[in-house]
Amino acid sequence: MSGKVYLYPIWIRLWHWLNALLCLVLIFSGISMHYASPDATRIRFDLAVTMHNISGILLTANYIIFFLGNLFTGNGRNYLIQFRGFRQRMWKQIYYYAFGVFKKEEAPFPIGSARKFNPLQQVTYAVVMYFMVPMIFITGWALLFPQVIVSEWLGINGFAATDFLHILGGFGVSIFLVIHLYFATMGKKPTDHYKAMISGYHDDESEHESENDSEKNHI
Amino acid sequence: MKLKTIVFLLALFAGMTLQAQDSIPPVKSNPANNHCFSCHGKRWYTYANKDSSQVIKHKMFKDLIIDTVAYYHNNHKSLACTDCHASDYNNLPHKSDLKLEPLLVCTDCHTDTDDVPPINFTGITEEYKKSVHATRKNTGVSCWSCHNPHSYNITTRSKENLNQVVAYDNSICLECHSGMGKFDILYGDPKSNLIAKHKWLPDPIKHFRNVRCIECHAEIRADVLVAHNIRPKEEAIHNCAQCHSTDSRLKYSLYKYQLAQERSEKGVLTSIISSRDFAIGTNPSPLLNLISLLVFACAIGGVAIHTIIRIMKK
Repeated sequence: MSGKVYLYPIWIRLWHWLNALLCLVLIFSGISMHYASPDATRIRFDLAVTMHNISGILLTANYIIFFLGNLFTGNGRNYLIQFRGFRQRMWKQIYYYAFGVFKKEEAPFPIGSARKFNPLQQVTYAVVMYFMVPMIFITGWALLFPQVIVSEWLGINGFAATDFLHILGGFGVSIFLVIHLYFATMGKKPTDHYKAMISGYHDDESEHESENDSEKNHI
Repeated sequence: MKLKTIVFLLALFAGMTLQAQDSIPPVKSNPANNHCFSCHGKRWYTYANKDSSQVIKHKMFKDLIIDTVAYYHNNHKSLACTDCHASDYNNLPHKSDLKLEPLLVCTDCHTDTDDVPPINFTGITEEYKKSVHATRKNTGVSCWSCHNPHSYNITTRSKENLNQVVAYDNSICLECHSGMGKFDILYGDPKSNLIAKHKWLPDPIKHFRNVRCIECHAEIRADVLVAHNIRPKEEAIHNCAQCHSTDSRLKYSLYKYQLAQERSEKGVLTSIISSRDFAIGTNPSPLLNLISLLVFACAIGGVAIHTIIRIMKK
């Protein structure tokens, strides 16, 4: 039995669960609006709009907390990708998820105090949190105040383009959510990561790490 | 410092002048109307008493004053006054029985044409006769109540700024249905009852600026370009998805002319990308929806297969 390591401070856990809740509300209200029909029995349109607007505003505020938290605490370094040897490390992780996990192999990049994300998580989270989510809330705010949108650019309707980017981002986050929820079951036990994000403590999987020490130094 | 101030003021003046030149095109008047407008274009008119040679000055009755600038920018600007009014009006003083002159209605001159989509004046007349404006007693409403023949500009067949179409058309309704200036309504005075009555909308002001009153308050008829069957308020649309959906009402009303024009000129797909209209939910692409569903299904399928193999190898 490995020891416990305090991996997720309270601000990260609160941010994470609030983010999760808001994303769920945004996805369901967004789908309801996107597929709105006079006869459909989804969320009532005006209610969906209100839910979507309020959740979007809160998501932006929550993102600012995340951004500042990463800027002023050590959490931000988890998102900094070391490009040297990154491709090899990523393939190693992909191989583990595709084959290794079925052969009961040890995770190549176990979670510990020195490393919170494996290389695949690192690149995914960085893209989602520093590209996709900002794109969603920037386009979302623009749709909230449509007078700021350029009505036409190179013959393309500015509103339709903004809406398209917003929906594209929302779709990306929906896909991310499905995969994230599943990969969160890939701990030693399926519930380990979920419990860790509630208590803040995670099994120190890196205690028995030996062969990956060299890679760890690159993170 | 002084030089900078002078340059700034000159630039400001030049900008204002240019703007003024842009916004008010020059007026081309019809000399045949000068005689009429010499009295009806003014608040005060004068005439000489033939017997006493005394010049008499009178205030023109408000409803008989014609805004000449508006007239020469309206759809009827090419007409002479006597094209619609009896030629006897050229004689002064006007005979009193001329007041009994029957007024023309739109369809006395306007007939159905081959425009795409057609305006359909016959249909408009039929629809108008079913509307609250015609069926309720003593409303005193006629074509002219909304379409002032001396200032009206048809905006529906405009492919340019849809917001201007909306503002112009809504201002017609607000002339009667607002106890206050139309600009106050359009620019969001919270004290307005009209806004309070529409507060069920997530953002009433945004709606007032982007759609016309008739979008929700009139019954749409496919072969009529602009709905004229205004329904009682109880029958107004309260279901957001009537507009915010793929088969949006707006496609059959506000966007009808634009869509018909752009689709015939550019094709369906290009018209969606380049059209100036936009409302959430009206233009989802069936192809993108299908691709997104397939990608989502692949993600779920991948997770399911991975889970099954994990369970089997446990």
